[in-house]
Amino acid sequence: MFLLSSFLSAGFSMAGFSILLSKRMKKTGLVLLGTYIFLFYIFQDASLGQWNTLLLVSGALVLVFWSTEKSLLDTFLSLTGYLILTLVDSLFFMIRSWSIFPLQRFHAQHPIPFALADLFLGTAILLCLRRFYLRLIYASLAKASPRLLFCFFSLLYLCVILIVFNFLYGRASSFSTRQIIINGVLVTVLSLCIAFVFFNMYHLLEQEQELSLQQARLSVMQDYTERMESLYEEMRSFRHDYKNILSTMEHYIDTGDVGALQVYFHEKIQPLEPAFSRDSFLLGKLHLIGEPALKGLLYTKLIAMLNHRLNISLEISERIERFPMDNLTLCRILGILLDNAIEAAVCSVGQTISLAIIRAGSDTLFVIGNDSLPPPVPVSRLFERGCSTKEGHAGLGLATVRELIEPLSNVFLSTEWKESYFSQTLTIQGEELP
Amino acid sequence: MISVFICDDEEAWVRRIADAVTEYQDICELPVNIVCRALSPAEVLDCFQKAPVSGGIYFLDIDLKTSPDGLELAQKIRLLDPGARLIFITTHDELMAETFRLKLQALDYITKDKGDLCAQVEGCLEHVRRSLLPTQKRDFSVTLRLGSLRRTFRTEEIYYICSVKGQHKLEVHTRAGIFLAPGTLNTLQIQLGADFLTCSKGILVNAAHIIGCDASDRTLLLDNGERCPCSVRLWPKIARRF
Repeated sequence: MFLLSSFLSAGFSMAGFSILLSKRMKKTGLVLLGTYIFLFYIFQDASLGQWNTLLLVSGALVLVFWSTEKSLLDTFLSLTGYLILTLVDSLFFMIRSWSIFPLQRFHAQHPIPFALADLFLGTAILLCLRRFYLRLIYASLAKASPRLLFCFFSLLYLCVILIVFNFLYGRASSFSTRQIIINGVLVTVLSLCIAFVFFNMYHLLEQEQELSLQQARLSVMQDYTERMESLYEEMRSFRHDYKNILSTMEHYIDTGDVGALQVYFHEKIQPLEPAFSRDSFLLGKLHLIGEPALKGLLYTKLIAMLNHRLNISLEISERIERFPMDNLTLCRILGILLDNAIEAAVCSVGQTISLAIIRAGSDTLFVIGNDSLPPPVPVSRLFERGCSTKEGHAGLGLATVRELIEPLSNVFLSTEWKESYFSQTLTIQGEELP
Repeated sequence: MISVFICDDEEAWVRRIADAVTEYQDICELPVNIVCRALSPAEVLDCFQKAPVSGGIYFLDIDLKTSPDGLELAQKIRLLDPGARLIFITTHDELMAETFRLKLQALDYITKDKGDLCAQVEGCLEHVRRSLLPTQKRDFSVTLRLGSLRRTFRTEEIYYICSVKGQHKLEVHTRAGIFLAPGTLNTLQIQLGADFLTCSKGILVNAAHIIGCDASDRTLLLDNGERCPCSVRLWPKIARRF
């Protein structure tokens, strides 16, 4: 009987700790956590009283933290799950105490069915929460700043302490039902307030981030427009020159003065060739990119290349609108690849960098190439986390690229180093989105 | 006899290229015959329809101010003559080397503003001449398709191939780099033959590149410094061999 009730309690806590996690725990982690909780319920030292619960929670959280590869967010979610279950449990307690039926007495006589009902209902609530709300916001929660998470983690932990010493302790040392219920309601209200504040603050921060991103994008576009306007000015002045040239030539041809025409051509017209700045001409090619975020990214990277005085080759042969791929992911991947290419090209002998955006059939190809010194490790090892060819760098770039590409079934990356040239081809398969 | 088509909207350039081709033909005895000197894409297509050829050499200006333009013309030619050897005539600012190579499988290109046209044309034709030489015995190779692109690997340059978990993707590790392509290991395993061992679920490793094994973390050491993980089940058999 004792074993069974311990098993059910362990299952209850286990559900709380594990259901809300955003990614799967390691199998060993899950088994360890289960065993730890189960053994804890069997061998806990009754003389420690409610300190046991705190020990249980802290130990479980450490295990979760370890087995989710030190993810603060998952530890936070795990604690949230546990807290929710505890609150659900206290709610059941209140219902039992207030019910007109003598449920409390039944509970004392037959704890097992009640524990089972608790377990099922609690698990169902958590599963619903995960399925209908959290799953939709995991991706954006993952971006939450660790500081914010840590603050709220501490607050939640405080809530658990309050629950333990006001509510559970009260139940164990027979406080009056009234007192327990008041304590329970207070703690529940506090927890809900904390949750409310957290989500509001989080959304506020998110909005602010979005706003600053938009502002940055706007300033890039403004810069781009200015460049294009100056290109227009150059073109206007060239048009003026060109008309002058034509009329002078007309004069020489009409008078049949071929000698003078030859001199004029070689001395005046041929040197005119670099009339347009190559920079603006290069940047002008971006007009073929319809997607503002991608255009902005390419523009900033091209400016960086120009600032480093690299030999740039940019090929965009057709108009490119949208891709069957999340825009933000594409920009993150290209940002990393281009940054790497720029850094490597700057250190190389030839200082050449090339970017080609090609539509071949239904595929879109991004070909990024750069002159580079031979990589010190095999190319395939460059994608390992923590592998960097640069001193003092964490080596996260290409590892992140790999992680971003892995779940996408229509995106492929090839990386190659041949004859001091490093090239990466990102292929997105599938038709353009309408 | 290989047929040569030249298309540029400026007659002077058509003439200059034709001269360069003739000159090269005289020196190197490449059997070429200029069958079409066109000023517009329509003329090229007309000429082709009158006397279809296969494996012809096409010099095409990409900036023909017509419809279809040079790139579109090239795509049409590629459909009509799959073995076409495309050579683009372009300027430095318009140069799209990767697009020519990847999208149209162009053989080469000529830049008008680079100077020494004859040498450039000769280079292109030399390229053609070498491709006509009898090739040596082919090594074993596998070809992976990625959309419209193909990529052929000689088996000896492959270190190992692994499948990406939960996806129909293969990751080919070669001497030069990593390539991702759609596919499954089962079909490849037959093509690759006995030199390739399965060392764990989803990994085929080239035995020729294994230089040792590390029992501490059950990995195979490859001669380029990479490590390849081995499964518990297959480890004893593989460790005995190396």
